[in-house]
Amino acid sequence: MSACQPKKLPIQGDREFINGDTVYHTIANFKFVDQDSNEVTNKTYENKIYVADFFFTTCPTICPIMKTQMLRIYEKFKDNPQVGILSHTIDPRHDSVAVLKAYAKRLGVNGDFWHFVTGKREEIYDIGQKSYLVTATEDATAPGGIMHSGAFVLIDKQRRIRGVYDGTKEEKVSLLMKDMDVLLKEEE
Amino acid sequence: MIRILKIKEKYPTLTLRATVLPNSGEGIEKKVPKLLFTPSLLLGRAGVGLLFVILLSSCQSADKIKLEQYYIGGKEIFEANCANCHQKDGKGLQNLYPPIAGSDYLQNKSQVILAIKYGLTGEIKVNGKVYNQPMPANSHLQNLDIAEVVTYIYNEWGNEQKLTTVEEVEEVLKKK
Repeated sequence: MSACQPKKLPIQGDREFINGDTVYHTIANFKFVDQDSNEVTNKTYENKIYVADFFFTTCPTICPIMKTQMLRIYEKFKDNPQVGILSHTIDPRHDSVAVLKAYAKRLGVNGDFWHFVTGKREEIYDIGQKSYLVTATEDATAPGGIMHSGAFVLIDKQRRIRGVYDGTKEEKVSLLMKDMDVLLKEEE
Repeated sequence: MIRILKIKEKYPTLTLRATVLPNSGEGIEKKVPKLLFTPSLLLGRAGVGLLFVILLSSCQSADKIKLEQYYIGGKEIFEANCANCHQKDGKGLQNLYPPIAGSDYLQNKSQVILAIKYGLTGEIKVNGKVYNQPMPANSHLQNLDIAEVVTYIYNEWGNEQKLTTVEEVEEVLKKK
């Protein structure tokens, strides 16, 4: 049965039923600035599926491993115009455009496939918690002073969450990459 | 003891040996003659020779076991505290985090010990390349932990086949 039907990813988050229509949870409007000083908004990801995460450049714990894993996604999809990556810094006081630029460069990331964005602290935390449904809070007891989740969130072309994956686990990221293939087929 | 128990959970076969033989190796010298004395009397000179060979090899293996203990403990510490950035294979991450494997930074062991304990900030040069990402201090690591992780690093990637002792670590940290 299932072999005949193409696999579909679930649509995540709360949903409402309005006048008989299902309204899904979507990512709110946003406007940030990336490592090249370019504005990054929802428009940047129009007609793209993308993976979003939250990190900071001086994070000593899970970010390096998340970036190691995100690089796998970058390597696999960087030439696909229907895919993108959006990494938000949760330490905008330190992570200026210049810092993000240097970070991206050292990571070997070029072009406009992968945006490292900064912006107003409250807006970043807000969109993290309310739109992407991930944890990100300041916590003096956490190494680096910020506690945050290592989640990679997969967003479809309609701004809906289609999967949440542990970005610190190689096998979860392998699953994410497979799901991205599924989502790309589904959206064709 | 807690350490040994911890390792025991992970490596049941290894710890069996490790718990029987204390670190100093004294235990073996006491035990081995007791076991072999009667056979060696029966066997005469050949037996004494045999005893000698066994004693010699058990001393070597006591050192070897200690090295193994440090190596295995050090690997665990490395993977918990260092591998996030430097990766499990020690190759680092792009130009962000420098490699440990094949790194000229290993030439100065004191500097490695200090970096592990107190962290680093600012630019450093590794194999001619400049890196500039802060390394956090590992103040929670005890001298024994550092000795183990340095032993692991140097045996794995630094062409060494020997222990870095707790005393060596103490010596370096005292100078600071």
